[in-house]
Amino acid sequence: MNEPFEWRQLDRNALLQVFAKTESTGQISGTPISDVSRVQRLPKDAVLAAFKKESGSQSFSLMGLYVDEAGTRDLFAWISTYLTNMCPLTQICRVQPLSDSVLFEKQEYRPSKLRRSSAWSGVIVGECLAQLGQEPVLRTAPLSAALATFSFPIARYQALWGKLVDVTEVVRRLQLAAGTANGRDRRLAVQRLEIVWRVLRALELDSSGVKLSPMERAIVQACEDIATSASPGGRLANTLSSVLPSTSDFGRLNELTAEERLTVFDRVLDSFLSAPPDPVYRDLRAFAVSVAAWAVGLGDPKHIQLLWPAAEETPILLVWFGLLAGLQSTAANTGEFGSFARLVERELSYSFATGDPPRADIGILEYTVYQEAEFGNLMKDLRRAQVRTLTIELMPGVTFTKAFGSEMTRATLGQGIDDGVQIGKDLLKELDEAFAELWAVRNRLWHGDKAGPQPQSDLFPTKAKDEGTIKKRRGRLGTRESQER
Amino acid sequence: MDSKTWWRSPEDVDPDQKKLMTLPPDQPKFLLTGPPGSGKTNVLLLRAVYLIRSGFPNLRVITFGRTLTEFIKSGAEANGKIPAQQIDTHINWQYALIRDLTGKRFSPSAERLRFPDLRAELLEASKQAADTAGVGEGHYDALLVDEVQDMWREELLLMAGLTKRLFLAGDARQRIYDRNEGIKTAIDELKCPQQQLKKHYRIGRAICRAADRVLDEKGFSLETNCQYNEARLKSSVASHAHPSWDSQFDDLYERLERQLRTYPDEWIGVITPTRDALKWVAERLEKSALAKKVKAHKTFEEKADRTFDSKRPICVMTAHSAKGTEFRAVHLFAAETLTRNVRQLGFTIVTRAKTSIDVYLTGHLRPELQAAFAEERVPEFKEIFGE
Repeated sequence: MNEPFEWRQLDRNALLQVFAKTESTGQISGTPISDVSRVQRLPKDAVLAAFKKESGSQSFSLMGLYVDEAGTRDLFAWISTYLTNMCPLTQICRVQPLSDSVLFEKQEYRPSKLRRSSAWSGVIVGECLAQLGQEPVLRTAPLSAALATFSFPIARYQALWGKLVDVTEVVRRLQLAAGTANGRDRRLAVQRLEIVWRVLRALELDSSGVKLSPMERAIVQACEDIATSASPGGRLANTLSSVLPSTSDFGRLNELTAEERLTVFDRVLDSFLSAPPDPVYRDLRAFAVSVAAWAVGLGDPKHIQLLWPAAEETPILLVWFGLLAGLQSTAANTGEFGSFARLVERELSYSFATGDPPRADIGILEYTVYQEAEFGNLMKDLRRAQVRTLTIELMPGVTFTKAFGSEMTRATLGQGIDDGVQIGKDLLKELDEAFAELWAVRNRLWHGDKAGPQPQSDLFPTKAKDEGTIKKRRGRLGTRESQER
Repeated sequence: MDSKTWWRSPEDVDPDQKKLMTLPPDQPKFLLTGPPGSGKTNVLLLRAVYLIRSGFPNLRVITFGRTLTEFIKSGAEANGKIPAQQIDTHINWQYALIRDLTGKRFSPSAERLRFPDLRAELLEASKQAADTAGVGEGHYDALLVDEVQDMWREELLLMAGLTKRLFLAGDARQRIYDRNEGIKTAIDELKCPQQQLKKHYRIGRAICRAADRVLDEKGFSLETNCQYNEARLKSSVASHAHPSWDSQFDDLYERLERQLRTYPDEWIGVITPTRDALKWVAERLEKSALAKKVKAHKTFEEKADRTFDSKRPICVMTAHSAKGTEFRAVHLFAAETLTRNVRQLGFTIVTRAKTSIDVYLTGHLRPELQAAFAEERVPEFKEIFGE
């Protein structure tokens, strides 16, 4: 039986002491907290810390810091001022929003189990292909691309915390982490995928506890028919023919040869492409087209190829197809799609112990603060486990990977890490020049031009603490977004 | 390419097949028979793997035709368990045997010998080489022979003299050459214990029905023993009459285009009864927009390339070359030119298809073949009078 964590509320002095003697003595600084679930708010400048007793010794290790989100920015400005070598903290201990502390109340082992794991992995493979674009070759698509999808962290969340934490919270964090990658760099944005995740969660939880619109309920029903019925055609036709009349042929699916089913697919696709735009039924129509492609081989994942010409305009088609292919796990396991999906499924199934150290490059809280312009060099100098990618922990054991595009496409290889992770060389040069100019002004005012070159450690944190300086910098340089604009 | 052609995991194998693969390594001789699609070739290849793993690596897998050899080699390479150089046609195997035993290359008496004459000369030279070298049953750890129904008696006796382990597989109904002595020799002279596989999994029900009508076998029906999953991929048989080969080609082309999308990463066969028809259709396909997807086995040329290329899934070949192969969809082009050995060749062509067969003709089919593709229905009374 693992011992529970020791919880302490730490003010900044106590935090300094903890970092100074991280795992040395049997004494822990700060105020003991007996029931962490009752801590709803923290005083200004305070954090909640979880310690784990080292087996066979009296010393304690810092496992996690839990921070009131309102005070996050100030805290990290302070840490990066006085504890420069400890940035980012995620590489030392987990840093999470205070609300996550309940997940750590007990030190426990969380198996990662998804009832519809092949459907989740199908969606991830589908999204991966959609984001890659231009008829990607499944055989050469790297696993890292699948792990960098938006759907991967959602699947991990569902497996680890799906019953404890509301999905809107993880989607919010995902959007923060995605930053401008959400929509600008990727062909599919987070918002566009949310309906797929809602449908999958409803399938995972047998529809209980998931609020669905009538259209989403129709899709869930169709998916359940496909997963359980040997001849789902009739019900599919009933569900889908109201939005795309050509899907009425689904009623005869089992009587048709594969070639005849291809003709049905072509008809459905034609009517989808020629139908006037309709934001209300857009998703149901896209789902119907993917069902038609799925029906050609009754689940054979190879038929995802049929959707490539249309996926250029409507990449979500590939995601729906991935879901459909994964509903019958035996079919999803065949061919190149299957071998790729199996790798993804393996990655999804890693279990997680709350006592494990974080494996991400940075936590979501630190990331959202440090990507701001005035912390730019922190992100630039950040050591990452893998070149060209940045892993951001959204929740314990749930990681989102950035730098998707630059890793996957030849055209963007050689460019730096994408938005929010590394500032381009030109911008850095401009920043350096601006700071040098500022430094020179400061020197003239204080020392009358006698000071030497600026010390590196002064570059960000000391000034970052001074809100006035930050505002001045903003006025001079603007935010990163305004720079991009 | 189609991963279902070659078994890769124990779940693909039924108990009967497993028993055959794992017969004791010292089993001296064995004959395995069964209908097309019953897994004979797969059992034979996995039996070879079993013997290699049992410490008998000096074996050869011998097939009848070049096309089948290349087809098996493509599977063996993908599987990685049998070195491709240990798989060969019986002709090439004898060439290699003579070279190994005498150090000289076999030269036929004339340059363009008829195939049966070449075969006879080669056999005589092989027997002489073996006698002179004094080799016996220890020369090979095992010989595994596919399509045994088309082997000659003397060829099988030569093989039996060179190994203690002779594993034979074949099907009398798939015989396409005149001499019918392979299976008879195996049973009567070599006294091989025999086992017949009855269930088959590859061929759709509609195709089984057509094959049974082309070549009847007393007491056995492909359709009755069919285990094909019709609910997943419904099988179909259709014939298409056209006024000319040009018109046949247009129809064929349209179907090929559709099938490339319907069956991605699967083999599609275009089979012709004659070399003339092969040349005609291969040239047309190679000039078409599908050229990059076409691999023609041009047996009308001196040294035809008969390999398979997974990037070119449309395979064009004669009925004789198609022996032993399998395709998701088969197209029999210029079917009206199938006039000799109609039942045997017709059966071989039809049973190459797993899911669909389309027959194109200009003129009339031979009645025994026409019966296979005729639609069974109750005609209207007035149709009797041509109305």
